Amino acid sequence: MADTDRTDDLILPVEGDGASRRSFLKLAGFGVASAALAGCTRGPTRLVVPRPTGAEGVVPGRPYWIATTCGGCEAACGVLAKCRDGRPIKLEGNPQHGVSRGGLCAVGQASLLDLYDGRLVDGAQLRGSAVEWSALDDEMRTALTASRGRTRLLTRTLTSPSTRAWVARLEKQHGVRHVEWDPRSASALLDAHKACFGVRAVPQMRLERARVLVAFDADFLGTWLSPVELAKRYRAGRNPDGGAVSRHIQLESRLSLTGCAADERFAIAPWEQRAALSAICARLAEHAGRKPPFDLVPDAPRPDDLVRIADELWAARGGGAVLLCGSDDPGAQGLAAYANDLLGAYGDDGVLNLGARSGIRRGDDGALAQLVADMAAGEVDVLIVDGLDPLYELPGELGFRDAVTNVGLVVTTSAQPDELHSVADAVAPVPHALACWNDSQQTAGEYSLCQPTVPALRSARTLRASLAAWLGDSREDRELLRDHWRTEIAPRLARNVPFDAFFDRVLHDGFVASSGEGVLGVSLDAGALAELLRTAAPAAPAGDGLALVLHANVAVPEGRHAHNPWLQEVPDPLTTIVWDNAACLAPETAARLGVKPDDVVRVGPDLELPVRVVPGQDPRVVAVALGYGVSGTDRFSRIGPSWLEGRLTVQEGGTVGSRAAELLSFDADGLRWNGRAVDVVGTGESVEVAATQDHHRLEVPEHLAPKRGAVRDAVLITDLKTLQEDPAHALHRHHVPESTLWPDDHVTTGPRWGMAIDLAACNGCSGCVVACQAENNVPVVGKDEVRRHREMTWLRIDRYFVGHGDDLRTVHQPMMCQHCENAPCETVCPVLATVHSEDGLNQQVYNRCVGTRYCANNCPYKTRRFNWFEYERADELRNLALNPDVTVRSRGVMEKCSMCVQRIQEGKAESSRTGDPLADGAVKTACQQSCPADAIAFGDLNDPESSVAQLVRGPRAYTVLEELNVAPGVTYLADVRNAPKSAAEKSHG
Amino acid sequence: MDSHAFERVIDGDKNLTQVTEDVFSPLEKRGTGRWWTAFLVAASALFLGLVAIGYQVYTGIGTWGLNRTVGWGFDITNFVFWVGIGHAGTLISAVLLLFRQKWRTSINRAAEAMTIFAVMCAGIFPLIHMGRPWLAHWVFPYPNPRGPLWVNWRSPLLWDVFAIGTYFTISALFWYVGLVPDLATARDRARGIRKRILSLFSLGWNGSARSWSRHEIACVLLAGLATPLVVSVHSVVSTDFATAVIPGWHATLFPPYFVIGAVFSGFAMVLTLMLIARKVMHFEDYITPRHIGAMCKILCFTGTIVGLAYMTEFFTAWYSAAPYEQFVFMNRAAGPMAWAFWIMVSCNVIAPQLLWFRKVRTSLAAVFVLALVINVGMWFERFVIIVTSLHRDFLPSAWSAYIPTSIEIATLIGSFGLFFTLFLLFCRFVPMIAAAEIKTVIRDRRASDDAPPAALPVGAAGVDERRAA
Repeated sequence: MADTDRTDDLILPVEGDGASRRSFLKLAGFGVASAALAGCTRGPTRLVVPRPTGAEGVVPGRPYWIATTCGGCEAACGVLAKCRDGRPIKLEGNPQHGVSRGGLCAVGQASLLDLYDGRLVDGAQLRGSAVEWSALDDEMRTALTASRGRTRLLTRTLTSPSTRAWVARLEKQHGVRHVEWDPRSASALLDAHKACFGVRAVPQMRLERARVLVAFDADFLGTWLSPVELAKRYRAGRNPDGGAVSRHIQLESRLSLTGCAADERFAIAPWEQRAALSAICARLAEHAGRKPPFDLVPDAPRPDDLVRIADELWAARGGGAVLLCGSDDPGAQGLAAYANDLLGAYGDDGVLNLGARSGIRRGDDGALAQLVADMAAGEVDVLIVDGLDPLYELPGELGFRDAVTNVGLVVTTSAQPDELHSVADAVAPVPHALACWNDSQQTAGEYSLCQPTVPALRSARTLRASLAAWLGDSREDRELLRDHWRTEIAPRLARNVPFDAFFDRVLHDGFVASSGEGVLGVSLDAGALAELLRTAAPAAPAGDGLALVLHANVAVPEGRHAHNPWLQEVPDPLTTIVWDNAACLAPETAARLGVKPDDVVRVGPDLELPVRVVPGQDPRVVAVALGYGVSGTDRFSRIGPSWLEGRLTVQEGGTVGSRAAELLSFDADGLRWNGRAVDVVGTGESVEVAATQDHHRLEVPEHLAPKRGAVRDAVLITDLKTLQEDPAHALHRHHVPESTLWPDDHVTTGPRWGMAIDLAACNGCSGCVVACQAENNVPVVGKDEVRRHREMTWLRIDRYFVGHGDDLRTVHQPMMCQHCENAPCETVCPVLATVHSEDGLNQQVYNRCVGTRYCANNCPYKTRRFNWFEYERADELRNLALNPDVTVRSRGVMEKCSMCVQRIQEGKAESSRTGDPLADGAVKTACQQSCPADAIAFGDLNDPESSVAQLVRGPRAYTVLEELNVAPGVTYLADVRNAPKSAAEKSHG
Repeated sequence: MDSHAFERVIDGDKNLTQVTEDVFSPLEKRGTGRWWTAFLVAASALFLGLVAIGYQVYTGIGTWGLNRTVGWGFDITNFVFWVGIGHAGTLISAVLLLFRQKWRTSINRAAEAMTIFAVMCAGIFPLIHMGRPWLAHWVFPYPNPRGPLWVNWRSPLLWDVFAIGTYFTISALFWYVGLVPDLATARDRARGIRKRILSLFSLGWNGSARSWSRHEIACVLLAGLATPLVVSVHSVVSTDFATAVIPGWHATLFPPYFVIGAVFSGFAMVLTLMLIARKVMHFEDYITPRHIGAMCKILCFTGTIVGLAYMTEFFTAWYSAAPYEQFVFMNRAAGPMAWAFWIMVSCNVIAPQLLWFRKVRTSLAAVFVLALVINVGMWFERFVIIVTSLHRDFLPSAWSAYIPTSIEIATLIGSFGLFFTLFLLFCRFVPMIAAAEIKTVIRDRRASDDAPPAALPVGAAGVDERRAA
């Protein structure tokens, strides 16, 4: 920005000063661009003159969309930020984005709220006091120069190529060593690939190609690597209505979302993984006529099933078979690599592609251990930490807390005051992903751009800008980014296009991919594999002890998400609890320990947690979610309504949930999440955990079950074979007469809006829950209110366990207002506050509602939500996330799913403006838009060609509680299990 | 009722003067210590309730233990309970008047007062159970500047508004019209400001034959109007539930079931009050064991029908073969809230069977205890119907529990406080026994033997006074 000193000339070009018409236009154009840019950062205070006309393209009250990239996790999904009046109000998946293809998970949806977090650090800090950035930069330049070779940069996997370039410069110029580490580490997977194939990378996983997919502890639909991308791809390979359906077998110790979706699922303990994988490898090698280059691990559990699984895999070899392993055990990862190699999964047509390898996990547990050792040895003078809070994320036994005292200057870039802030000498806060320039590289050839959607709300600087400043380059961040793209990325991706045009197009699209992903031919290094298997294997706990399985929750996967109230209030789709983590035990384990749900147990030396009982979990393990117990989360203590009997969400000085990271273990091979032997003992105390569901089965309690109605058929499951061979009888439904004596109450002439939800696709990820919350201004009510069953979510995910043992099925069912044609709620409201619209919607008129709650009582689905209190809206910064198109409801009124009526109205208005009829798919509800599995279809039921109308006519379609004749507008498509041949025959024989 | 058991409606062989003295002198004295104690207790309970309601209206319905699944709890339980209590008054005054049951004259005034107070208590709950009670007027259909927006004629809650409104109006009118001659007597005995107030309320009653004639006609007409209400009010209240889709609510049995339950609970409450009042106000001669015994027989009869209704509900559920319906009743009897169900059955079906025994019917202590037990049982009946049906309905994911909060308990206590406060004020300021009517059914021993038994207008207020003098 060398020309900024000529700003006066730009605004008032002096006549006769050599300014031709041409140069005036040039300068004026630049002036507008630089003014727009200047608006993106908080510059020095200056006189602000309101514009006589608004910014071009921004109409007050009309949304505009900015393509950018989600900052919720490293997966970096493409998002479209819906902005109103200069700020983002909703994030939606970017349908054109090559990786996430329109999906967005709960964390991504909720990351919007972090932008409006008022607790974040504003501006640079040096030794506890706010300073000018220049002061920090001076200090850093001095320190970096003085500590040549003794500076470390600790980051998560840096997905930003432009930032990586500056890290490389820092390494070169100051001898800084860069250590990458991920709290959700894939180090074992990376190390195994490094050893076996010489490539330390996570392969791209083209799950849409898989015909048989076996996963060991890989929760790829929930929390593993890039769940949105993998869910999209997985879904693409499973289309029960005519397309191919993959066979998915999951072997895992705890129950994960992916395990719930699997066609077949086995519970195995962490220490049995190697043996199980080894048995599969042996069988595959037998088929391949090869001898495994390692000693088989004995004592595999369920040998017959493993042989059958291996046979199924082998039958789909050469492109259709893949074995995913999410284990933290390099030995298990090595075996998985061997199996995939035998199956040809790394081939040209295979599922795994190491050529287009994923850039989202590079973390190295070993390097982190080395860093801590170096720090402890006093070899580190300056430590710069980005995106991590090692004091929270690492177990005490690694010794980071002591080691960090030996470091002269600790710098953190975290804007959230975390534990590292207590020992950091300097804070160089980074901005929110929605308020800065950035980029991201998902795979070798895929790049996303991140651009500001809002003027800076606080003073912050990306890591790239900070590094550049410390290296003496004080250009604006955007210039740094553009510079990298001009010199590094554009030449590779767009050789024949002018850079500006290329960059503008990427800025518009948010994403660019190189054509043709190279496939990297690999050959397996058998010696290295044998070496991997000599690493220490996880051992079974001695005696009655349980093995600890630490995992990430879907909604609060890591500690850094703990400050987001939307995420804290998403019911965990497996335990349905909110604002807490728990010790999950199998029913038989809980019985053996003599504990029941809500009892407090001590796990290990001093971690106290309430018990949740989860069927399907291995009885020899206790599963605990990481990401809780983050210091500072007592900020939410008063988040709910405060009244006479109200209880705090979290005690002052306490934390939301308990920190389990202390039980992570580090050994020579890296970080271990699983397998640590722990004692679980009841403390004799119990607490009331806030869960949204009390009864977890479709069957009513046995002692209350009527003879012919023990099972509530809210969820129907069919098997693929029946569906394909005899679709008319795929569902067992009571016959409901279709004719009626009554005239049609609600004749629709135009569209009749309806929804179809595919239970075979839904995996319970809860992205829709947060999408709905964000779109419809649903308040956060706090733990106590949820405990009292007064959660306000319009859309809930019902979770049912069906069957027992190996036949256990865990089904998820999104449940919201069913928009019944014969709505029971409508007849009972004394003041007509809930009525039927002429396009088939059941509408709630907030300002007419007097709050008798009769409608909620009479709703068979219990989807209506009452405003029990005036919910907290005092945080004005956070209120910027409210959707201006949706009323914020006051206390005393009923509310419920409106099928995003504001979007329908917007679509209709647009259609009448342009004169074009409303096309199918032109209006998407918030839940539908965000769904990574495309489980939700929405549209006009009166249009026989609409996608929803076609689904409703399909063989899997049914409505919940059909026999009540409320005629819901929401249709469900039965869950489909691709059962193994023998089981299918058995159930249908 | 076997009216020959009531050859003598009252005991003590009173003459008209004595009746007047007995009924009116307590109103002219200072309140007794017992009355003040009872009044202070009742008023404190009322105050507690007002504080609770004030807090709830200020803070939100969230101060109650309701949730997304159980949208009604104590609020509508209390409402139906009080409406039920309000039944006996009209039944006693209107139906028994039409059937010429003379024994009713001892208790009808108090029973009618009880009705009015109970309906007032009941009326509070639909008002305060609203999320936005300050908009309660929206449930009335009247031309308005909001569109005009009309009400939903299909909603049973709206029918309630009319049923309760009509019932309250007719009951209050009936009570007041019946009260006029006695107010006139009180007026004639009073002086000063008291006399002026009573003059206002006695509507210029002069005891003339014309007054009596009009009064009689008005009473019979109002009785005729009120009689269908005895059936309609609780039938309409029961449609709040019967028209809903919720298993356990959705039953055609509900209107008769609710009506008989209301008579049952109403008589239990009349008994409770009369047994206290006859002691406190020294009305032993007017409210005799024969009255008590008659009411016990009604209790025994209605209690048995209530039991039959419970059994019919179970039979219907079984016979319907509807799994949701069957489950609700299994859950009611053996689920997590079975304790409430068994309290209800014990109190309403099992306990009243003791009333088959004359010994029990004639033991005032036993009858008092049983009346209290039935009051408790009938409160639980409504609780069971409302809460156990709601808490586990169709989708198991939505099942939940209901635990009332301190605010709800205080509100319930407050409604009793209101009821007893009003009743105690009534005892002190309004002739509690319908003296004019009593006088029509007793024989004045100073009247000559061959004179006809005290005919209708004889012994009327005013006339009576002069004769006594």
